[in-house]
Amino acid sequence: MLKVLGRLLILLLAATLVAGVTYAVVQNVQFSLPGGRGGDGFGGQIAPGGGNANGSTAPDLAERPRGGRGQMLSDGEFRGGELEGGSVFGWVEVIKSLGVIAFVTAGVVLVQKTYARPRKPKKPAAGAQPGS
Amino acid sequence: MDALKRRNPNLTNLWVDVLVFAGMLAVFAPGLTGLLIHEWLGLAFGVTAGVHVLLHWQWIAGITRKFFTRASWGARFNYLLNAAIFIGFTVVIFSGVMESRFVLQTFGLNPPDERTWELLHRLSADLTLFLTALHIAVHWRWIWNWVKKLRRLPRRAPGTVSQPVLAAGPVKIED
Repeated sequence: MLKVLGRLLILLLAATLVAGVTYAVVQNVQFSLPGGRGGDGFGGQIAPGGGNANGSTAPDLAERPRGGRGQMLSDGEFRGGELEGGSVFGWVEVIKSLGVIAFVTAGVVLVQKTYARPRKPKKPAAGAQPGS
Repeated sequence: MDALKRRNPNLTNLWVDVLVFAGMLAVFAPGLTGLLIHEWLGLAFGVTAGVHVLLHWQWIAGITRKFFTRASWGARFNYLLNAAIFIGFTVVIFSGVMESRFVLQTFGLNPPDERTWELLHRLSADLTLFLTALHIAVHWRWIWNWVKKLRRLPRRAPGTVSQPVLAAGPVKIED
């Protein structure tokens, strides 16, 4: 049990390390972008419609339509689009994922078979004498 | 002692893998589940993927020890691929949490209004899906052998007690 807890701790530490690096990179990217938020870390001030108050063409972050076609209501509820789920588009996403997996698997199997073929020992033809 | 049930690690791995795979398909389709379920399912998927990693810990530790010395090229490739998948899923889950609307609010936090997290979430998800596909493809022979083995089981031992046990909870097998 202690062994499993130790492994779990190592796993969590590794995940925290990756998350920390990701956070640092994202912060760095935001600082270097024109119209970046530059300090507070929350609540960007980009306006919708392809232009900011400072003239930047960066898309508005604060007013962006997050989650595709969804809409946030004033009471905090989200309605519409992929926020509700159960749409036909959801099944298309599943099929797309399965398609990617099937495509890659087929490619790898094909490559494996191609490289495995020369290694197969040749069967002597029926009736052929040994050594001929 | 005959009544003792022992674990079949390969079968355990297989069913955990099936669970992880099904979870991954659902998590990668937010249009199917809706955003609320997508966010919580994504976190649950992270836990399940962690179990998947823990089940293969001995292999990870073994290759880590001999990565620069005695490991085969295939094992090295697998190791690097798995490391990339681990990093990928960590980035997907972390960026998902950072742009989440329901998970952060549950803990009284507001997501930062930054498009970067959303872009990173989508990009890393696409890349990780490809890497996972590669991971499945590399282990395709093992998966296919087990599928064939499971399909053959009922015909091999019809009417035995181990069949329903195997079908319902494959971890435990009667001696």
